[in-house]
Amino acid sequence: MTVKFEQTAEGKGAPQAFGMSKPRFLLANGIIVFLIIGAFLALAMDTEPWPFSNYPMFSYLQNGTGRDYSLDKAQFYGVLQGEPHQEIPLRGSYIQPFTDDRLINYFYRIDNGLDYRIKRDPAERQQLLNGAARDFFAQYERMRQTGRHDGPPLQGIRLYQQHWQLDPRAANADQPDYRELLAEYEQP
Amino acid sequence: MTRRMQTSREGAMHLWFWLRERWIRFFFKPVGPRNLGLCRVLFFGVFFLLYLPQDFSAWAYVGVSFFDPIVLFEFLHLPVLPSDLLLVVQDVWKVSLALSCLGLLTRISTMSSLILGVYLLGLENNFGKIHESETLVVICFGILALSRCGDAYSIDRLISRWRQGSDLTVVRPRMSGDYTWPVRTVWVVFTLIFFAAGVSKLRHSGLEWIFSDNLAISLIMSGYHVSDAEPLVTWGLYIAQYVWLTRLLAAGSLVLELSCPLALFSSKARWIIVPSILLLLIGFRVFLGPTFVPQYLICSLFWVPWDRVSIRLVERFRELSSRKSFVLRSTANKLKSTPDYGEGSVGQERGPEPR
Repeated sequence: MTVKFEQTAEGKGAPQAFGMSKPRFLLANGIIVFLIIGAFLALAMDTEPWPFSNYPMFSYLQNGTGRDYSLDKAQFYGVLQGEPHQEIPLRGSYIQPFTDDRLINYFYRIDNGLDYRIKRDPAERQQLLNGAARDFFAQYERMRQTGRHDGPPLQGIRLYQQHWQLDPRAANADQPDYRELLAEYEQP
Repeated sequence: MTRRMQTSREGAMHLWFWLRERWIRFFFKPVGPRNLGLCRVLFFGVFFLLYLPQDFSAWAYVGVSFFDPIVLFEFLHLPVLPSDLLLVVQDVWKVSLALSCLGLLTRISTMSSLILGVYLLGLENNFGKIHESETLVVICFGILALSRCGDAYSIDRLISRWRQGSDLTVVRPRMSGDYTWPVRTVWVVFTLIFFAAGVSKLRHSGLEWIFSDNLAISLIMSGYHVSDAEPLVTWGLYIAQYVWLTRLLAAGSLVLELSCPLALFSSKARWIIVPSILLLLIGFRVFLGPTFVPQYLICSLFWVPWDRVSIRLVERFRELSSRKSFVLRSTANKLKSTPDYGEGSVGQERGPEPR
C-alpha cells in the first residue's frame, strides 16, 4: 500500500489521510524524534542517561586481555558470631537486593576513582569503603530479621579485594590466589 | 551560477520530499487496530507474569553509602521510598500491568504502568551499576501509554460496544497510522540499541574486541561469579579453549549488532537479523550469565505481525474443527446405516474380521 502524503484531499501534508488528527500526528512525530535523538545523543556522548544508554555491556576488553589471564574483584565476607569467628563468602540471597556484578562494579568504580564522590576528595576513599561495609552489615541483618534470607547472624563484615590467575576450567573460582582487606565493620 | 544553485535547491527539495514520504510510509501507513491491540495484550501480560514475584521493597534497606543517583532520579529529586510505601507502589504497578493487559481503563492503566515503572525499574540503577535490561521496557511502556493500544482486544472496547448497542451511527476504529507508529517506533529503538552496543565495542576496544582473546577470557570469567547470574551451562569454558572459535563468534556478534538497523529497511534482512539477534541474546544468557535476556525477548514480540498470525491460527482452527466435524458426521452416518448398530461396529468397518 502506497501512501502519498502530498495527494490528500485536505491539502498538502494533511495527517487526516492516515486516519489521525493533527495534534496526534504531531505528538507521534515528537515522540519518535525524541527517542531517536535521545538514543544518538547517549551514543555520541558515551553516557548512560537511563533509560537511554550507550549500551557498553561487554564492550571493554577484559582485564588481562593479551597479557595474562587474571581477575580482580571485591567480595564481602561475613564474620560469624562465636569463636573462632569464621568467615563465609556473601553471595546470592545473602547480598539481596544486590547482585554480584552490581557490587563488583560499585567497588571497581571506587577503586579506580570513577565514583563522583572520590573525584571531589580522593582522601574519602577509605571512608567510603568503611561506610559501605557498615551499611552492608545493617542491610544483611535487616534482611535476615525480616526473613528475606536464612543466613546466620553475623558479628561483622569484611570487604576484600581478591585476585585470581584464571584457570581455564574455573576450578579455583572459590579460592583466590591472594586477597587484600579493604574495609571491615564489627558490631559494637 | 544561479542555474546551478537552482538545480541544487531542486535536488535538496526532491530529497526532502522523498525522505518525508519514506518517513510517513514507514511510521504512519494506515492499518487496523488489531496488531497493536494484540501486542499490548502480550507485552503487558508477559511482563505482569515476569514481575509478579519481584520485590522492589528490599532497596529501602540498602544504606546511603551505596546510593549514587542516576540523572533522572537526581533531576526529579526522587527519593528511595520506605519499604512499606514501596510495597504499595509495586502492588499498584502490578495491578496496572494486569489492567493494561486486559485493556480496562487502558489510558490510565498504561500511564500508571509507565510512571510507576520508571520509578521501580529505575530504582535499582541508583545502586552500583546501571543495568540496560529495562531501558527498552520503559521506552515501550511510554510508547504504549501514548498510543491508542486499547482500541482492539480490550475490555474498554467491549464496554463501548455494549454502551453503543445497535447505534449504527457510531464509528468503529478504522484504519489509521495511529496503530502503526507505536510498533514501528519500538522497532527503531530496538535496532538502535543493538547498533549502539556494536558501536560501543568498537569505540572502547576497537578491532581488538574480535582479534584478541577477550571473549575467551569473558567466557572463563563467567565461572568466577562476576555476573548477576551464573551461566546456564559450563560449555563456555570448553569454547574458550578454541580462541579461533571465540574470535569467530565475536566477529559474528559485532557484525550482527552493527547491521541491526538494516532490519528496518528490508523485510528479507529482518527475517535474518531479528532471529539472529534473539539467538545472540540467548547465547549471552546461556554461556555468560547476564539476565537481561527475557526483557529483550519479550520486547521483540513487536516484530511479529500478530494480527496475521491470529487470523492464520483461527483459520487453521476452523479448518481442523470442520474436518473433525465432517469425520464425526460421516462416521455417525455410516454407523446409522450399519444394521448391527452398537459397540464394536466401528471396528467392523475397518475391515473384515480375521477368520
